[in-house]
Parts: sequence; C-alpha cells; structure tokens
Amino acid sequence: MSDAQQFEAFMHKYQNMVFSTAMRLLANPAEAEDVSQEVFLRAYKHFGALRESPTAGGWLKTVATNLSLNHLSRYRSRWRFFSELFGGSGEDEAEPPEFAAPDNVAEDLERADRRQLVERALRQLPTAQRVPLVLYHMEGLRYEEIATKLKVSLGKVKTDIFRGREALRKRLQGQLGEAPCGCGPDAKTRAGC
Amino acid sequence: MNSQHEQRLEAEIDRELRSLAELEAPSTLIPRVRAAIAQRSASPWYRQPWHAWPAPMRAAALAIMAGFFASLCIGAWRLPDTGSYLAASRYAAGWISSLATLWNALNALLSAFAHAIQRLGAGILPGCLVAMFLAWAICLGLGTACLRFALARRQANDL
Repeated sequence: MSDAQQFEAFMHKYQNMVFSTAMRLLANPAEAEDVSQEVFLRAYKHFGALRESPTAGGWLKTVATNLSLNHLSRYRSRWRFFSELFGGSGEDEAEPPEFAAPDNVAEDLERADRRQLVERALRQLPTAQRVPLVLYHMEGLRYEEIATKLKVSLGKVKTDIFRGREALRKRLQGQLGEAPCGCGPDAKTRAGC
Repeated sequence: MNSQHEQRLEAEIDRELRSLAELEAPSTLIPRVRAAIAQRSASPWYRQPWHAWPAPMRAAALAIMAGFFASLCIGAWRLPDTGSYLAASRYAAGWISSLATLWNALNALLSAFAHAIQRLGAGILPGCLVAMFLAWAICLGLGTACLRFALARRQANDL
C-alpha cells in the first residue's frame, strides 16, 4: 500500500472523531470542516511518526481541540467585533427555536433521536457555556486545565459549566418533556432538579 | 446552589454527553484534504514556508542573510574611516566618468557626512543602530502587549 493510500485509510479511520471534536466546540459545520482539514494537513506532515503510533487518535483529538479553540478566539471574536461595530446582534443572542410539544415527542423517541436532540441542544448553547462543558464532559479535562486553555479564571470556568449544565437540562426538558436523567416529577422534586 | 442537585446534574449531563455517538464527517472532507496536499506539494519550494525548503536552500538562505548582516555591520563600522572611503570613492569616480558631476556632488555630500561621523566619534553609528533596534523592539513589545491585553479582554467577555 502506498503512502497516499495509507494516509487515506488513516483519514477514513479518524475523520468522524476529528470532525465531532471540532463540531462540538465550534457548533458550525463549515468551520468544523475547515478545522478538520487543517488537522489532517498537520497529521500529513507528521505521518511518518503517526502511522504506527498507538496515540495517533489522542494526538489528533488534542490538535483538533486546540485548533478549534484558536479558531474561536481569533476569527469569531474578530467577526463579533465587526458585527457589534455595525450594530448586528451576537450569535449567542439568537432566539432558541421552538420545539415540538413534549407530549408528542417524548413517547416515541428512539435512542438515536434522543442523541440528535442532545446534540442539537448542545449546539444551541452559547459558546461561553458550550466550550467548557464539552471540554469537561467530553474531552475529560479538569477545571484547572480548562481555565488554562481558555485563559479565564477557575471560578468562571466552574460557573460557566454549571450554567451550561442547567441550560442544557432546561433545553432537554423542553424537547424531551423530562429531565436528562429521566426522573419523574416526584423524583425531581426530591432531588431538587 | 444545592450541592446534591449539582452532583446529580453533573452525573446526568455527563451520562448524556458521553453517550453521544461520533458525528459523521462530511463526504467532502477527504477530497478537500487530498486537494490541499496535492496543491502544497505541487507549489515550488520558494513558495512554501521557509521550514519546508530543501535543506541546502535553507542553509544558503541563512548564509546569504548572515553575510548581508555582517557586511552591513562592517560597512557601518568602517564608514568613519574616511581615508579608505575617499580612496574607494576616487577609484569609483574614475569608472563613472560620464556621471562625474553628479558623482562629485554626491561625493561631497558623502564626504561631509563621513567627516561629520568622524567628528562625532567611531561609536556613534553603531550606537544609532543599537538605538534604532531598541526603539523597534520597544514598539514591537508594546504593540504586542496592547494587542494581547485587548484580545484577552475580548476573550474574557466572550467566554
């Protein structure tokens, strides 16, 4: 198998993981594809070392995370600067879309549908909440690591993650008609949900 | 904030998020990467970033730049030495006889400049160069600090 074919197989193996990582941080398919492309171009440069490495997946995930965060801090804040300059509204201020009535949806939800709804609810969170939430729950970073990566205080990270969880719970309640845990009204009252 | 509620919420959100499957990458991703790799490898070496140049070219470029910098430094150091400068300028004037008038005017100006430099002392030119470099470094440093401060504030507002 030639080098090009091997790299193609390598991309096939990891493309979903890389794209998912970028997509969950950026919440924008076009930007996530751009970042994924850059990740694989960097991987191509180091393909000699990555080819046989058992940690290639971790390397790709780290690069995808870092490039997505760079993208957020550079391009999006620049875009927002001009958007604010000309009186436009920020992306996070967008009205949340209306969801179907919980009673009609909750009963027939398949597992895949549920995941899609969680995915959509996550995408609709404001960047300030979504990014630390994804880094904590999906990338497995600690609060301190997130604070360092995002260059914000530890307290802010904790607050944003807590707010993100609450916002996600509310959005999922709106869509699924139940708490994410699936606990009923009595249980929710007892648990303080 | 209720800590029991927080712990429960954390556990449930963690379960929800970790249960998510990987998203399917768009079918255009691999062809895009392939095209970008082909484009990069097809472009000539001098259009690629310096670190991607062939090793002999990098070495040659480094040697040329070092030589240029060294000749600048030596030229600046030797400029106050008017004896050798005037001899060299006379020799050059013989070669450019058709532009003698212009050359003489230029020569007079340069000689005056050289004498002025000589009167100011041998260290003045390197001193000026060092001062210029320091001013440039200070501007660069201050500019970077201001930019970082502005971006940090914007990022803190964003997050």
